[in-house]
Amino acid sequence: MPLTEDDFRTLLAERAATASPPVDRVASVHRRIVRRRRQRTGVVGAVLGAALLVTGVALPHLSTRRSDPIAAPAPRPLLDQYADGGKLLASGVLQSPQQGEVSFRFTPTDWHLQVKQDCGAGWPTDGWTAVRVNGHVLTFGTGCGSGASGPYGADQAFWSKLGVQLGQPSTITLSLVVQDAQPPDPAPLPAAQRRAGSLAVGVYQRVPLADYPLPPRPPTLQPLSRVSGPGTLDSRDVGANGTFTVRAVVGPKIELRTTAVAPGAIRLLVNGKAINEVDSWRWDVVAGAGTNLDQDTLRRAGVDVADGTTVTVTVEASRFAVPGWTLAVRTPGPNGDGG
Amino acid sequence: MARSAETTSDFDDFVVGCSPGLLRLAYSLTHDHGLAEDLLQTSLVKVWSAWRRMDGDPLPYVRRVLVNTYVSSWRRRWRHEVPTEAADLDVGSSPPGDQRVGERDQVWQALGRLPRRQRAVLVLRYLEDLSEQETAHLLGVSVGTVKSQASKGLARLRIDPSFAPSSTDSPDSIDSPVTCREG
Repeated sequence: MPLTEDDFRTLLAERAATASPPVDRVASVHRRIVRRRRQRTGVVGAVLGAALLVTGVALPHLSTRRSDPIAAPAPRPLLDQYADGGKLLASGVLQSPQQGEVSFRFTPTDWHLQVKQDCGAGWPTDGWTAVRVNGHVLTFGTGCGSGASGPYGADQAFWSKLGVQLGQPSTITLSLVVQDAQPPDPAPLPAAQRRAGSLAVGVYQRVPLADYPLPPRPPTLQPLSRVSGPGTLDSRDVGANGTFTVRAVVGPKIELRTTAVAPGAIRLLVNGKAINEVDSWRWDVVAGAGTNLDQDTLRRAGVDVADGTTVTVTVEASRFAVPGWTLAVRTPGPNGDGG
Repeated sequence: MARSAETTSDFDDFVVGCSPGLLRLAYSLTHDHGLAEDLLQTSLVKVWSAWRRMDGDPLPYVRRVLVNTYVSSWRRRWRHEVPTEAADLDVGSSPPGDQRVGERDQVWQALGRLPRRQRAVLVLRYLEDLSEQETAHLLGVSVGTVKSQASKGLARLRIDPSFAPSSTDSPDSIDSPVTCREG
């Protein structure tokens, strides 16, 4: 018998109430705030330079050195030079009410791209913005804290639809738009309605883990749930780095679930064919990733298997300073239950 | 920028008092305790920069930041991490006594496979008990979009057909105050 509305509400309430590991959240949040502030201090020069170039003022000597504390206050907002495994490729800052729109160009060399927005002090929390890539709307809505846009995995199809080509310049435009504006052409916000504040948008391109400034190890690591049994690998049992294998029976779908609480690189293979690479670059989160594969996806990767076939799943783990990862292979059956 | 001790203390009090409810929301969205904690802390860090400018109860704004951070491709950086298009619900061979439990597990798993915006709409409507207008305002979409997303999400969960989103919600105040209580 299908669930009723009351059953559904009860289900949500029950599941939401399940216990989670205790954490000192206040301390952790403040550590993140301090870390974010320190990272941003290092890019004051770059963002200032980008903002001035965008508004038509060229500085002969741009610098990415730390800002002089006696100098004029840095423009807000600031984007981290490195974030989520990527390096800031290009960015622009919109200063309202003087500007209603800002554009800049970026030239990617890799499809692992992500667009991030951030607001400075004073930005109205209900202010609407739209971000376009080569004229195509990527995101729209309230601009503050909108996070990252676009898949970070190499998704040529996604970015190509926005007119992006590797090695060729593309244009990003950040605009103030009216509330509830909708694509394909969100209406610009009239100048008289612009409130004071600043907003930044930047394009990040993933960098190899070896080139990423990993944070220092904290005194206490995030809790990592133990995995055991068939189809699982726990680095605390097998080692932090190396090549490890498990066997799993293929169903209509197979999920390779990786979890990491330390920076490092994990390469996943099925029957010796490379399937995915998942990097972790943080200590302060429990990073989980599900690589979901159906039989079509496996065939395209060169793994031709039928339902019920046993495959070998290989993990190549590297650059982990501690045994801080696990793998669990799930093969949901026709009833939706995990294997 | 220096913060007053009072501002920091207010923020800390908010984190302590309101985190349990926000964490439940984050867990309902992410279906993973670790990711929920990360989503919550990421959102609180974002809120910190606007803390001094906020008037009134900050909870609605924090909730909006959290949900929109989740919906806007947060952490969607792994290849092949895409929601399945169809929920695989088949109560088939479960023993009669366990069938209800099996159905609820399957609905929970199917909820986790919905596209993020549909999942967010259902969680906001049926866990947070927000009206269609409040949900639309929080997500920055129209009421029509909320109705459409809820309808599609419920259809994928194969909830009882009589469980349909109401089309006659009363016009609740969008910014009705919500008070956080400690503990």
